[in-house]
Amino acid sequence: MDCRSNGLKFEKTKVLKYVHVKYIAMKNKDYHIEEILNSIEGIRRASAPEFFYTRLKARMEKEVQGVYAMPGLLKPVFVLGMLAVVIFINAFVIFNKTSASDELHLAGNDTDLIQLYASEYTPAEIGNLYDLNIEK
Amino acid sequence: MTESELIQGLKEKDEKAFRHLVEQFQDQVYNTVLSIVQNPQDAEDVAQEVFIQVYRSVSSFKGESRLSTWIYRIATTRALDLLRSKKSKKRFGVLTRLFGNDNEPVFEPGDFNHPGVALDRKENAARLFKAISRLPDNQKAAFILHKMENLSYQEISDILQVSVPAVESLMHRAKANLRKWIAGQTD
Repeated sequence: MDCRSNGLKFEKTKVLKYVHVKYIAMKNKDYHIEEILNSIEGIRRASAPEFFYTRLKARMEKEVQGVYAMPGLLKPVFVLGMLAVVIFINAFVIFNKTSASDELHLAGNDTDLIQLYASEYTPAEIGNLYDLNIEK
Repeated sequence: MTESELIQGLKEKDEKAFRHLVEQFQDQVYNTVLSIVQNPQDAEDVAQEVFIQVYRSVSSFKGESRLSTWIYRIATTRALDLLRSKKSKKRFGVLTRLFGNDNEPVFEPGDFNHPGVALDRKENAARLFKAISRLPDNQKAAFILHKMENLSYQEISDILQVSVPAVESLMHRAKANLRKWIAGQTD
C-alpha cells in the first residue's frame, strides 16, 4: 500500500514538474515576444541623408532639362497628337466600311444578286463549244 | 514663416519657401518612408519624389487639412506604391526566370536595421521590421505612423482618410498579426 501511494506521489510530482517547466517556457516565450514587440519603443527618428536638399534640387533641374531636351518627336504633346490622329483615321475607316456594307445590303434584294452572279458565270464559250460539236 | 505663408510661397514657386519646406519636413518624410520601404537608397529616392510631387501639385492643395497631414499622405502612398511595384516585379521576375532571360536581381527584403534603434535592441528590432514588412498596406501604414512618428490616432485617421475607430481596429489587427508571426518564428 505504501509502495503504491509512493508511486502515485512520484507520478504526481513528475506531472507537476512537467507542467511547471511548460509554464515557464510559455512565460519565457511570451516575454520574448513582448521584448521584440517593444524593441522599437523610444526609437529615434532617422535623419534624411546629408545634402538632401542639394540632391533633390539637382534631380528637379535634371528632370526639367530632360523635358526640354527631348527631341520634338518624343514630346508628350506631339505623341498624344499623333495618337489622336491615328485613332481618328481608324474610327473614320471603320465607320465608312460599316456604312458601305449597310448600303449594299439595303440596295438590292436577293434575286437581283442571284441574277448578277448568274450573268457573270454564264460563259459565252459554252455556246461556242456547243456550236463546234454540231459542226463536227 | 507660418504655414499659410509657406503654402502661399510654394504656390508662387518661391525657392526659399520650398527650401524651408524641405528642411522642415525632410526627416519626417524620410523616417516614414524608410520604415515602410526598409532600404535607405529607395527611401531617399521616394522622399525626393514626395517633395517633387508637393512642389508640382501644391496649387491643388486646398488647405482643408494641415500641410503635414498632406505630406504624410503623399509619403505613405508613394512608399507603399514602391513596395507594390517591387512585389509585382518579383512576381514577373519569377515568370521571366522560367523562360531564362532575366539577369536582374529580384526584390528580396533582407534584414533591415533602423538607424534610430538602440544597439542592444537591434536584433529584436530587425525581427520586428521583418514582421512589419508582411503586414497588409493599411495596417502597415497605421502601425508605422503611430510607432515610428508618434502620431495620434486622430492624426493617422486624417492622413489615411479613415475614421478613428478604423485606425484603432487597424492597430489592433496589426499587433495581433505581428504577435502571431513572431510567435511562429520563435517556435
